[in-house]
Amino acid sequence: MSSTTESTAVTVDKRPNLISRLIPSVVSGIVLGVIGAAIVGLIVNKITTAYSPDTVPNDNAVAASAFIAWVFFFMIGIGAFNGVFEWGFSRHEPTPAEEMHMAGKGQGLWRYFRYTTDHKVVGVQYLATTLALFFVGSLGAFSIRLEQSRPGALFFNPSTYNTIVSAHGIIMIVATIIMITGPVGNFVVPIMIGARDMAFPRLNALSYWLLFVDVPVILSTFFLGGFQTGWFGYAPIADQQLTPGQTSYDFFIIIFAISTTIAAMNIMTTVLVMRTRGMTWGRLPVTVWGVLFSVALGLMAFPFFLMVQVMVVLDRVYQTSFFLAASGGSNFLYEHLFWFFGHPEVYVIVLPSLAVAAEIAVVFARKPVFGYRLIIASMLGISILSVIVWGHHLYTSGSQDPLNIPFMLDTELISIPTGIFFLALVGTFWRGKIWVTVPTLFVFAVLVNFVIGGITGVYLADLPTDELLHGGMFVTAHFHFTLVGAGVFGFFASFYYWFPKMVGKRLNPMLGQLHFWLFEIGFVGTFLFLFIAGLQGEPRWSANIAAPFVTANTVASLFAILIAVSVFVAIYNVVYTLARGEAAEANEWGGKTLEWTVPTPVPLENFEELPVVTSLPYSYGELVPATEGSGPVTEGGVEGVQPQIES
Amino acid sequence: MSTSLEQVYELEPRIKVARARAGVLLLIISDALAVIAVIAGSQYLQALNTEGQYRVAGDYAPSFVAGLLVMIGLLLSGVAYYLWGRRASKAGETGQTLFLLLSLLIMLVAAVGETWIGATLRYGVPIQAFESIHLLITWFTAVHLWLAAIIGILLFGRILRGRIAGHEFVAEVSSWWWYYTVVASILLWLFATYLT
Amino acid sequence: MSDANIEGSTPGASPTPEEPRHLRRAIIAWIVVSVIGIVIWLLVTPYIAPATSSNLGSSQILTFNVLTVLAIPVAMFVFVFLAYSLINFRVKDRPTEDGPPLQPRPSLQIGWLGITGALCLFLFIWGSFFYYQETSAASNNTLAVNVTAQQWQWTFDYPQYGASSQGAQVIELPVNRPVQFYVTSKDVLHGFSILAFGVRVDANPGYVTTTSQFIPTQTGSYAVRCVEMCGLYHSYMWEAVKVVSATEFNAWIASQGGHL
Repeated sequence: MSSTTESTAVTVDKRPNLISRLIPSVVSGIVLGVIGAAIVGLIVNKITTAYSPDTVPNDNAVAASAFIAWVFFFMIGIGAFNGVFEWGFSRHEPTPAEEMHMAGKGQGLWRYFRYTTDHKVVGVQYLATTLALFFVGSLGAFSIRLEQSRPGALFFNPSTYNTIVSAHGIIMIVATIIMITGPVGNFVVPIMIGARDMAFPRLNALSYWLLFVDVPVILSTFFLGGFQTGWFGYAPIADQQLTPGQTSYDFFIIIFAISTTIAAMNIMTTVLVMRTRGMTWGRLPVTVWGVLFSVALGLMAFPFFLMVQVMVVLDRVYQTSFFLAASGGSNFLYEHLFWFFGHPEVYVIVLPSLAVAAEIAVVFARKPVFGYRLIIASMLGISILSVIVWGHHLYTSGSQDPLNIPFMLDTELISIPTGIFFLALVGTFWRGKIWVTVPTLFVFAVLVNFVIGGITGVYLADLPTDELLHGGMFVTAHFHFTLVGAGVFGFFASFYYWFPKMVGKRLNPMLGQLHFWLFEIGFVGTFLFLFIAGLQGEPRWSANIAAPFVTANTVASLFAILIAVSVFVAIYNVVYTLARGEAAEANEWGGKTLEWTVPTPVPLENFEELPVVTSLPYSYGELVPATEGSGPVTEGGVEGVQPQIES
Repeated sequence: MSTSLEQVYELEPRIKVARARAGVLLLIISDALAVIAVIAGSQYLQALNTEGQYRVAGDYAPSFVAGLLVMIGLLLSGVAYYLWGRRASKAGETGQTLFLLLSLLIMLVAAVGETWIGATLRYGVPIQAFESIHLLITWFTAVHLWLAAIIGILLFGRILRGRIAGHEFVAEVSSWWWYYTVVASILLWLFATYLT
Repeated sequence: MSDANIEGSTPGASPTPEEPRHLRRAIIAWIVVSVIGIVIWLLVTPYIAPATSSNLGSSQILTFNVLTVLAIPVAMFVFVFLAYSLINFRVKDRPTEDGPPLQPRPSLQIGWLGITGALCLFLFIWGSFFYYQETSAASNNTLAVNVTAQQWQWTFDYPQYGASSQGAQVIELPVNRPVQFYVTSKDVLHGFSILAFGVRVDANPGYVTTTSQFIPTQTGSYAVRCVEMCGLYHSYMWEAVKVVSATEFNAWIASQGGHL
């Protein structure tokens, strides 16, 4: 499907028959995975019923073993282990033809449904899965708003409602973690640094398919009785046997943690090792820095989330007591392990969006970044501080009162690098030549929403006000303003910006604008009124809306209708464009990063010849051409000085 | 292992070495953080001693002798691996394959042993925090020993096929993971035996 | 990435009247909008801010308002400068020329860092001071109330009087007397909160936590709500707490089986 110029390559020209298409592929993966899960589940059921005491239900053991078998056999079915086996026992290294085949050469669209190593394929796979997760999560969101529009239980009984809230939360958290790192980190970043692929292409495919195989695991909760903990998965409520639906959540996290760790390792190694000649650290595009910091944080944080879920699974399946006070466990253990991960995790979500916002601002203001080093320093500062602030989620927990004040200090400190970021972005737009396209609109919204989100965070960071607001809807509105308002809007900026490069077609700008305005107005309206509900005292996770909160909730639900409509506008735009959209230019927007120098569709090997980089890709307003060997071109201009126009 | 390059475009050898080192180091860091999570969590529960129930009469740790044997085996496995690796990491050499085989066999026995320790714990329900920690550490170690054994088997396959020459960095970085597994397992065992 | 990149001036360039004019206009707009915003907030806050009826709550609302008054100019700065840019620097369709390659001067960077740092420090000191105040409050007349949370109800005991709420849906507290809650849970994590008094603390199984000491200042009926997800009926886990006169309180204690 991709145009290539490799006339010297040896290509194996086999007419693909149906069997060689289906095996291995996602089809054989699913078939084998389902069969394997069923068989293992039945075997474990038999064994545990025979050998464990009658008082201990075995449904968690069965569920856990079924999940593990599902993943394992799916991977066999999709051919993930083939490469491992060949690494150890093949007689020769893979030939170029074999590697081309693994990268999807000659397989047309079907390569998106196989264990394909081409980073561009993996990027599109991540994008499709992100959008699918957003859609499922949005269904949950609209169900919540529907239920919360009037008092009492309207549509859902408490168990179902709690499951919807919890599933909405964790699905959206996972979706927002991968939303930019997946599509952009995979598709764009290698091209941006002048590489031909990621450092570990096969592990790249593995990290994606682990995510794919993980989606049915969380969806299974709806068939296993659901789970009642909210997205935190707090124990000891997670330890209560109730239904095996809780185990779905635990394994969703365990599998995702492994997928994310592999992806993080891959991206970090790629950026460390595969930059082209001349692409020094000081010439790295802001997007790459943002993704790099984000995955580094993720690598550091996820082992804690993984281990705490392993402990919950042990509690549920083997009756251990990590979190049960009666046997020496403690819920504080869960809270600390969880939030030690949980706080860096929100910056894992937001940093790529902020970086992408900066990247896109540059292109649509036709100006260099206002302080390249400032932005990098701000993201670095945010990353480092984010590791030591987790206690601010625990101010009212009773766990660490003497530490409350130190945690307040370093939490307040995060606003300093955040402020630097705003200086850089506002300065980038200032006096630019601002081209208002759909990506530009989303970038403005990122900034506006992040201000509101960030400032409302200060109320929660400050101990006296947190006593009024912790555990209430104010918190919910705060994190939606940051994670959705900055995070998801940043995702859509990147989506509309890179869609022409990834797909080769031009999205309809009118529909894009309609999507944007419906989304922003609906979003701000919904969550402003939820702030108000929080100030009135509405707790989080409320299936039952009490009288004082009804008006705010009803208005919020009305605004949410706009968001729902915007989703369908976007879906229509994408579907129509894929089917009948006009072709996009290779450099649709006039960007200067390396991905805009390659043709669309991007060739399998990205570059005919690896580029040699001589400067930052932000050389807008350059007046003095670089002389030979002079290094990075001077970005002149001091605030207040109009650079001389050279004729 | 480059899988998306053509004949014309080949990754420079120094990049292959660099990415192998970086990748394995990052995985070691990630796993080490998981070990830290286990140790920190265990110490925290011990310090809290919620309701005085951290450990009650009748709670026991896994068999000391069995654990000691496994740890000695791991040490021997690490030494044997070192004796193989220091030659295999040099360009053009393949190292004494016997040492790798020895190292691998000992690791397999250690993995089986640790699994046996875990399976014979037979803790009574409900399991106090003290025993929960030992259960976790035992299985955590067992999983890592099996993982190392599998890596060893794959490596052994490569040697049998003559595909180590020219891939010295494979011997080098795999030895890093091997030593990490040995060290982390021993540290966890020492922690579990003397500090819980 | 030498400093020459970051801020040098093109030789021979001379300042034009453009830049100071834009900057001045934007700053004036910012000041005006901020003042308007603060005025609007002060008018609107009685309807939006949490209603509190204790000394603690009043102190927290003061902090809340101080934060908001500081936050408005910060937010308006971003909004005004972005709006100004959007209105004045917008070009129709694809730009044919680039914008000026502006870079932040060291004085701007340092000034910005200084101001944000000072704001930060102020917020931290303010927050620490008020937190210290509330956590070190002590008196010899404190009413101690034990709270036990369980799925899905609250049980209250008055150990000084030997009374308990006996499952009653309404408990009572005397006005103008310091109160402190001692909170625990029988099963899972719950969140004990009374917004009107400004108290909030988790109920942990196997552990007792305390709220800050506070003095209810107004009689009336207020809500106790659970603020940590605790399962099925989490959002039905309410009770009412009435603040009444001392005599009414004594009568209520007697009715709950307590002695004075």
